[in-house]
Amino acid sequence: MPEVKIEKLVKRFGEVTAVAGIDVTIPEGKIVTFLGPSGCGKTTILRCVAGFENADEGMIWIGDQIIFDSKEKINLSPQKRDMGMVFQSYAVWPHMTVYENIAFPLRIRKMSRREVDERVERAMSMVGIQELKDRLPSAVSGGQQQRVAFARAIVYDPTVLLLDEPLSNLDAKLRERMRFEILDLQRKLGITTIYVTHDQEEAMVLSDEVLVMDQGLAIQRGDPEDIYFNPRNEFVADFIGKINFLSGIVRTQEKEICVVDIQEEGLQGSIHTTRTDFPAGRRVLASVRPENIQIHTSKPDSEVNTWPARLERKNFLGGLFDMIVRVEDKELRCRTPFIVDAKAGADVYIHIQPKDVMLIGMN
Amino acid sequence: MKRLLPVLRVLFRRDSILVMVIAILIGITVIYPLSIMVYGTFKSAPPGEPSPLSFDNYVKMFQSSWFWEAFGHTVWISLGGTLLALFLGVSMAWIVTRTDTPWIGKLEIPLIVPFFLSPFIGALAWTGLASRDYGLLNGWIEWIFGVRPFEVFGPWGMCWVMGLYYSPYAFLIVSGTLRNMDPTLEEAALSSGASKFQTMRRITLPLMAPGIMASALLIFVAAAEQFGVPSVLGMTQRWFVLTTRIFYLLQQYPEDYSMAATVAMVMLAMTGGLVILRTRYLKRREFVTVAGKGFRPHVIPLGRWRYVTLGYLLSYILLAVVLPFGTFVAISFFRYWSIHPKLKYLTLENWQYILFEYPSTWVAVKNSLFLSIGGAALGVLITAVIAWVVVRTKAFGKDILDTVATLPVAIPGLILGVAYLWAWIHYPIYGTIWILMVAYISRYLPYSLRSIESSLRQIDKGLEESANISGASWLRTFRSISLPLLKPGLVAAYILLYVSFIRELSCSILLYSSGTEVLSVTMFDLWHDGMFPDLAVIGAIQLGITTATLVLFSVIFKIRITEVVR
Repeated sequence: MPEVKIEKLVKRFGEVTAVAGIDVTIPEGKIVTFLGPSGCGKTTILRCVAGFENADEGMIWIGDQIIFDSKEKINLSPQKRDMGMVFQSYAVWPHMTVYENIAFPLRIRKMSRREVDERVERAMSMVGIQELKDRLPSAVSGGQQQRVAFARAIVYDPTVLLLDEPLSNLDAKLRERMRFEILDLQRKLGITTIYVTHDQEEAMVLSDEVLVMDQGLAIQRGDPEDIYFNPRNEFVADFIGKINFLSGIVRTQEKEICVVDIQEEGLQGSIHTTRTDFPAGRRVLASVRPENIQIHTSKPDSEVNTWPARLERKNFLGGLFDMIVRVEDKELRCRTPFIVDAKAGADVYIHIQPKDVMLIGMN
Repeated sequence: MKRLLPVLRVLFRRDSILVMVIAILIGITVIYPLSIMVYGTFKSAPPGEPSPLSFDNYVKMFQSSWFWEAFGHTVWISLGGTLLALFLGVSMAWIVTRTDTPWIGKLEIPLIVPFFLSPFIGALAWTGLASRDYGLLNGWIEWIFGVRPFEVFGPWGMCWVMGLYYSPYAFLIVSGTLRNMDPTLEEAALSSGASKFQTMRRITLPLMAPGIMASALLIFVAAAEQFGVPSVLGMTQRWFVLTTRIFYLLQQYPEDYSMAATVAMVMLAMTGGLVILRTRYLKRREFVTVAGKGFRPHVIPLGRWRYVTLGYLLSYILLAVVLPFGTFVAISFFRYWSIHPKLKYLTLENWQYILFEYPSTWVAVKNSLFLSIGGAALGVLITAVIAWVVVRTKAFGKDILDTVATLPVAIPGLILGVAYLWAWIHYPIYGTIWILMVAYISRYLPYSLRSIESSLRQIDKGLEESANISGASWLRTFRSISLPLLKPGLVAAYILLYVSFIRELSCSILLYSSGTEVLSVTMFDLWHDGMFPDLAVIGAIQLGITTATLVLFSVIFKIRITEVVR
């Protein structure tokens, strides 16, 4: 399985620049997710790779083969790129049975009847739809159509698999299950895969690497944990998971510990963190994930990063509590799976461990 | 009695009473006349006179050569017209929706203008262009090559004219299918290795098939029941189709009402069968291909060929609109029209004669305007009530009502005329303008009904329910909520009825009498009196009125003409 390399890709639609110079390599056999809000250009890149959009600048390789080069005017047509693609709408052909849908790419490749049969059977059993063989798409559910689309995309052993928000039209339960199935399938096939989604949970579960995009630019690239725990900027921190921001200035910077003066309108004081990558005097955002704010009903032992607070709201989401606490005049979001022995309106203490305070540089 | 009470309560609910009133109306205007006509086929005497019942008419008809000839002719021209219309309509739909041909946005309206023009006037106008004796095109070509290649009179001319004027049906239906088709269906084929041609053949075409099939059946029925075109292009040559044969049977002396009814039954069976076929087919093969979000129209860059496709579209507009109707208006200013029209024959006399001397002109203008403006208003009102009952109430029998109101789709205008003759010829309504209005509304009710029903279905029921919950009665809800929301749909239906009524010929030709002439009938009379330039004046007046009204409507109600035909 070859790698896919995208270099300096630019795509404009009239005045709008959808993709503003993207460099990314999808390593051999890995699954890389393009993650971002709608309109960030992720789908456009995928369609450039598939050959449905003609990029304005840049190059795209599959292994050693150049499939697109704006300068040399190379643009391989989609049918010659040998890629498998699953569309958001599934695009299962309504006038063909499930079997015919999956067999179509093989028939195009003029395979023998026996080989077509064998491969379709294998693809169908891989996604678990053998019993739907002779049904028309109108007679199967959305989730099953999705599997048909998958089987159709992998049946001819394409070199690259392109997935364009394949799960966004499914209900929540099925979506969660399909994530694992897709990952299993990808691992089994070992196929180089690009996955486009706006769902960060999906990206976390599925990806070897995540490319976070905003307004046509690649903002950060890394494995899911890295992106979650070391967001490069405010956008990434905010888009991936939930987060509380406290703006401030680095006061002291020692070997192990860094102290930040909080400069929020409603909250003064300082916060300690083990992150030490910013020099004293630098403006930063101290960022804390809701699950890292501990709530205590009595004063905790540690003085550091501890504040008295009022529990403003407490919602039980089933499995976890979602709360808003007020420290002085600043509201913070916190979450915990543990029972909190306090009612809304109660006075509590919050404590944040220094290792859980992330710093993001500001200009 | 106790058991009966709930039934009575349902029957006497206001909406149920409404259903019954409408059902009775439709019964009187459609079902009763048809039944009388069917009865008439077994009689040997004209309407109202007693006679023994027998199958003689059928036997006589099936044994005659004229019937089989007319039947064959009908199939011939309907098939030819349908094939041409499909070819033109489908190719234009593909060009407009899937290619980067220039000016497509600007051409959208001109391309559907033929939809609003009457094939009857189209046929008249085309005689001025392609008659062997006096067709302008023949004149031009003879001048260069020394031959006259065209002859619009006869079957091929009929196919040509109907193909031209029915192609918008195919164009509208198929371009709708193509516009709504999820482009990823084609992309999926491309990325699984199919070439553009393979994708077209194995994915796009099969997905278009239901649309093509539906328009084919629609056009075939329209062509088979067409009276104006074969009467202009064939009757003087005694080249009959079923409709003109029926007309002929009623024009000769003594009129053969029974035989006319018998031939009408054959037509009715034919159109009815095709309409049923079409409904069945559509039910079975309705693919849901409508695109979800992320829809991107898939446009094929044609390179230099885009000027060829542009030329193709422009030629269609030239041949269906500009040339024939330009010629038609020109003819109205000539004393004689010939293969080489001479400037010295230019005159205003035709206009002067038609406007100030010809006795029927103003009667016909007045009648046509009354029927189309008033009739369309009445038609829309009735349709709106039926649509509302069918879509929004749980009234008893509403589904039957829907079916019955849709019945006339399968009844050719001329056949409805025959049925009305049989049913009403001895009643005082016969010979009045009201019988024309009743016939028009009954005949075109299904079309406005379909249009209003579909726009009503698009309005969320919650909007009405929230009016109910805030205390409005059903009448008040209809007036203050449903009606304003429905306005665009109502305007579209009104325009549809208006355009159909002002050009109506095949019902009127049997039901008019002195004093109730309409414009189309006047043209028909002038044509058969050989007064071509004079009838061109009437035609020009009719075109002028139609155009002015359409423009006025689109300005007043801010509605695009393209929305009317959706």
